[in-house]
Amino acid sequence: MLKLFGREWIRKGIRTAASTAMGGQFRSNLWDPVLIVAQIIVLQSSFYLCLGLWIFFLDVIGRFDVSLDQMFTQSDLGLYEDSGRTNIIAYALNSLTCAFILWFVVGRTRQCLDFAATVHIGHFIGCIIFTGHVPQTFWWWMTNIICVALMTVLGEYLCMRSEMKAIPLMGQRVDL
Amino acid sequence: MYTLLSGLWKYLFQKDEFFVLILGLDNAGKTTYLEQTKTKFNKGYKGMNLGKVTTTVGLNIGKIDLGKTRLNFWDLGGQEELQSLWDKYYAESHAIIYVVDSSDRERIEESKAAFDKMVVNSSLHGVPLLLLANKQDLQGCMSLGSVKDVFNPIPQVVGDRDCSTEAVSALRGDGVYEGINWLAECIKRNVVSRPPTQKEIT
Repeated sequence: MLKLFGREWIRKGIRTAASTAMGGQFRSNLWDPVLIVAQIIVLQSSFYLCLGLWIFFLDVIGRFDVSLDQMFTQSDLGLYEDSGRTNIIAYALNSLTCAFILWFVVGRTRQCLDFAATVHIGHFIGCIIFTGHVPQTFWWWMTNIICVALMTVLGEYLCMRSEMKAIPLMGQRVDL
Repeated sequence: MYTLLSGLWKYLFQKDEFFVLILGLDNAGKTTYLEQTKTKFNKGYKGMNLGKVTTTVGLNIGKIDLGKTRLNFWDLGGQEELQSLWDKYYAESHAIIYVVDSSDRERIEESKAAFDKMVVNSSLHGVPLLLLANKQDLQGCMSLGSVKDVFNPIPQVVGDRDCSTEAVSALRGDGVYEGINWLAECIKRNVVSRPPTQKEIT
């Protein structure tokens, strides 16, 4: 197992992140567990960071009380109350923001669904830990499924755009 | 997470890949031996008609699984012009099978010369070697003892490696099991100096 972690993964991770935004580079297809775990952690953290920011903004605008329950409690999602509606909007905006983070951190079209689902599975587990039971309301499931879809589709679109870019072969050292 | 888990699965269950060269003069029975090996070790593999084996141009490849190890065979063409290609494979091989046609007394010296040239190659240092006296099913063939006598000065050249000789009949399939199993054991013993080729996990 030691061999797995002996790689120069930091250098590779930075390069992956940088090159996805720039586009136009050959990329390693090797299985790199350290890189994947790091990507999952980064995505999970930024998911909660952005969700927190969006909820905070919308709370300030809508003059609701800011509370952690809004992130993790199923009863705070729904179309029948103003606060519930704002929350759903925060979730939707968050998944769009996370698609950009997905583009920057992962940058692979075929891995978008994988990572988007992983983030939401993480969130699902987070909800269970916070409330102590599995979320049961229709709106919680609805919101999250739509969020996965939004994040995947926008992420794939962004990644595909940079993956389609031409890879220049002349005038620079090519790292095949 | 899917990528992570599927990669982990591949990592845990990947087989150790080894490469085995099958060498020998033309018409010694290398391709037949390979076909026989594939038939015996791969369940459900319907071998080709052994009567229809012709001259190998280029190479034939074969693959067998023995538990957690996978043996890949490279059966190279044995004609004189093709022998110059042999040494391109030496650095990446983990074992050598050298097939001798023991019914062909006229060319046994030629076989010995090709063998000597091969065995002293430095990229083959320490690689297990299996010498097969093939075509034991034919009448009037040389016995394993007399083939051994011809190849006798082996000890000095062979040096520090596992080495075995065996009488086989590739056509009938006699002695194929024992040879391959012996070779697999030697490859595993030699794994420190010749580690298995790792397939990259994508």
